[in-house]
Amino acid sequence: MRTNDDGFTLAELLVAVSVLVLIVLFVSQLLNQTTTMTTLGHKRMDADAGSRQLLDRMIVDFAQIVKRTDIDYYVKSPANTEAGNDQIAFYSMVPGYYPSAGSQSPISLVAYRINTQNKLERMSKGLVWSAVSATDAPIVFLPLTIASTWPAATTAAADADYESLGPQAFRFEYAYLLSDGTFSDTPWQTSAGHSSIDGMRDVVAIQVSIAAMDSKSRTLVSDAQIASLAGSMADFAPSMNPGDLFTQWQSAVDAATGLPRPAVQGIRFYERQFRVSK
Amino acid sequence: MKPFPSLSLPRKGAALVIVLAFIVLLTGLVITYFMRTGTDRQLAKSSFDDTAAELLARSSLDIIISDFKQEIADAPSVTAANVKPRTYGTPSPGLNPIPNLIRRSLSGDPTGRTSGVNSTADSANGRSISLARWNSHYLIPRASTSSTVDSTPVSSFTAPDWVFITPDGPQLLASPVSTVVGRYAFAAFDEGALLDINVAGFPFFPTTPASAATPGIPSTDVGRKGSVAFADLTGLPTSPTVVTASTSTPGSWHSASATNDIVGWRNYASVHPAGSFTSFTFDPAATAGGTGTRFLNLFLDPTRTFLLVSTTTTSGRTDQALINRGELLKLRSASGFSQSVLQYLGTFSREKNRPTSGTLTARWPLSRFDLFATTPPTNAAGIQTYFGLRYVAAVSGPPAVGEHWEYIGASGSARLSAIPSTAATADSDLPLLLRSTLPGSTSTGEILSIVASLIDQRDSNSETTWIEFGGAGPAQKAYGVDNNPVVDPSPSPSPPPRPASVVVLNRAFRNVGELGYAYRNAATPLDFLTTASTDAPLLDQFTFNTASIRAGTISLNTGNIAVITALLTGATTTEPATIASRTNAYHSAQSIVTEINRLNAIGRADVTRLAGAAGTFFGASDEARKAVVRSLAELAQTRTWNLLIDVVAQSGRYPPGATNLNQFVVQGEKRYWLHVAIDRFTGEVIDQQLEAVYE
Repeated sequence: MRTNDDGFTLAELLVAVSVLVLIVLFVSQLLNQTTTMTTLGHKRMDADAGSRQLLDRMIVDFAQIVKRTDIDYYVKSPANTEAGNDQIAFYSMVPGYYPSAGSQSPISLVAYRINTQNKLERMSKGLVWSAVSATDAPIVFLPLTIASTWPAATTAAADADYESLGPQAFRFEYAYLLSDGTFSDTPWQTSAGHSSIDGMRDVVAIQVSIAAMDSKSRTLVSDAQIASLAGSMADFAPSMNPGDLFTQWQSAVDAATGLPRPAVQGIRFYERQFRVSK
Repeated sequence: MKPFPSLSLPRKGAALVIVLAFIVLLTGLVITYFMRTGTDRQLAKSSFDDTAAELLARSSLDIIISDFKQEIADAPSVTAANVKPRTYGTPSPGLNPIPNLIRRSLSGDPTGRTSGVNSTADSANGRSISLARWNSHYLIPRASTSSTVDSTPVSSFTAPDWVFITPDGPQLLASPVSTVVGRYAFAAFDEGALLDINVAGFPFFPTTPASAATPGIPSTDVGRKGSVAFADLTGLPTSPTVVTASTSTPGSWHSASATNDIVGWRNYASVHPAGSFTSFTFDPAATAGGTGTRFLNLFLDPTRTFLLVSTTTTSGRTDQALINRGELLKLRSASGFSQSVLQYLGTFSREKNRPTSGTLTARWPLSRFDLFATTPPTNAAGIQTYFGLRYVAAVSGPPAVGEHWEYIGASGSARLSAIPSTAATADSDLPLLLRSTLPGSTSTGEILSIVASLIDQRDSNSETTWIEFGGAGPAQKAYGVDNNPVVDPSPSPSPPPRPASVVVLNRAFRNVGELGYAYRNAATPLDFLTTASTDAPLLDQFTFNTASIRAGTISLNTGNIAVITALLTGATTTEPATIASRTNAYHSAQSIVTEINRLNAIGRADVTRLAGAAGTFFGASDEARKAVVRSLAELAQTRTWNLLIDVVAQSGRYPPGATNLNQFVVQGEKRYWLHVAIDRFTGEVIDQQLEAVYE
């Protein structure tokens, strides 16, 4: 029994230090794991929040899509297969960025694309009423097309009415749920003898699939790496079963060995179907 | 030396501070986490509630449409009593009428599902639908005569009651039940009784004063009607409350400039007016090749469905169409015309262009008469196919033979003595069609005399046509009526005495009512004016516009005096240039709506009854009184129900312990305006358009 209050024996110190080391190791391990879990959780919430905002916006845009047989839709079709990231442009009865001249009509041209910075952006070009301006175009009906009237809506060209809506999203793919219950990359039912989009008469819903990487993870990879990864992720094919697309995307992500692991861990996939009003 | 005072802090207190700090830190982290997840949960819940409300709204629309279709299935035999949808929840007689309202969800209605909870009553969390919101489409006459924006409807409108939905479907509840998942309320309107603004209206040439503006197209073209495009929108009153049979002539009307805003915007590329939106200028009617000519080229194309925008482009611009009612409301705001006019305007109308009586699956095109535009004819085969006639040129003789026609049937080669009594189709020859439409007692000679008279109306010459029929023996002759008396070298049998005065068009028919210029037995005009007319069914068999499904026709059973006024204003009362004034059109429309309210029209044939009821505001002559027929028969229909169903659905629940149906907790809400066209005679949904309403 220790009788001298002024000091510790060597054995006591060794035991104390050993215990302290063990405790430090345990706590640091605990902190490390907690940090990893917290970081992953934050990444997930970050990606979820960004994607929710994007998908919620899409709900409104697609719900108010203008469906007429005499207007143009810039969409994926046999004549426009859109390998890699998809692009879509259509008229919708939502507000947009209007020219300063005023005379705002309730219709906007809405477009979605992945830009050159590998971020999903949305165009919402508020259209003016017909015949109020020689420069600002109103909604145009066929034979005039979206591509001929607003080229930036169908290409990678810059346009001031694009805004980054999903900075986390780097892969954008969509397919059509047709009225016969099948998913297709053709916006009409060939089995019914149809051969044109015809106001999306056969399209019940548009299924959007997105791959997103949270903002913290994005700082760990270059644009070229993201572009390469996006390019390696498969396009939708009608032969796919539900879930196949994401399985193939996950395989592409797993195969991307050049990417830092923390960045890979931050990749999330989202899918939602947007009913198209009938 | 005084020693340093020792620190009095207890040595074990540090641990407590550290522990407390950790607890505070952890608590902060936990609170932050729960706040974030809580917000996330709320967002997800909100999204879920909205989705639930949307699904409820769509389901309720399916239920409402099913009720309409069931009503048709329950009454396959169409009568005046059931040709229109059953009405309920409409104002009682004596109160301000709401002509467009067909029904609303109402406690005690025939569905037996509707609760006594009114949609204007507050829910447990204070949600209600105001009367002004129920009239945000402006289909109900407004109450306010001073405010130009207040959409609050007339006091005779009562807001719809709620229908509660459980997992088993809509149920009539006596008290709250925990299984309720939502509720809906609706009002259905007769959009087919309105002028489809995607078709209706023609431009005006502005003058000073503005009220004296003249049509920017020839008045003869306005007067011949044939398309709703020739409805005069300046015949629409701008008074908020609806006009009735006892309302004196309104004091203010929709302006010509506001009409130009609509027409110029809608047909910008095809008509190409000068100026820009809200300041368009159109050429005078007499300007050849001007805006008037371009307008006529567009709207007198008989093949146009008006469901699609013209493909004409001008300077990178196209024509326009109002996508839905929401866009119409915005266009009105941009133009600045009166909200009160909106109760007469729609954006959705569909009609299967087929008769409501007889065996035809499509109407017989009036353009076939154009085969007689030149004499001798250039298309003998076409004339035989569609008229069963063979041309016989004049021979100076001897024996001298006058130019005439022989009735040989669509596929025959020899003169026939009688018209076969087989059922007609849309491609049958005209005598066969008349045989199957007119009473069986009508003789072959009588029918062929009508055919001859119709040919005289269409051909370009002034010589009276006759048709020879009969077998191998001596020919019998059926005479028409033209400007010149019969020139027949061998008038046997003799032609009947000519009518005292005749009107001969010598041009293409513009509307089915113009068949009323024809004579029977070269003596009496076709009867398009009496209730008992046996000629009236003819109005249902022919058409100027040949599209199988088209937009722009109006329900003949419309209760809107203003709409009929617009259709009648400017109608030709006496060829070629006497037209109906707006005031006379208004008074005629009042009489017509009174008659419609007494007895619905089943088909176009009823137009003769309405014309008889319209009186003599346009003149007492046969021709003047038939102006109503010429204006309405081609433009009106009864077979399609064009409805606008305004539904509000709310997802939600009853909290535990709720004792009153008013204690519903609203969690999500969705409103739709569904435009739907249902064929009354087949129950087929011809077309529909779902318009999401965001307020």
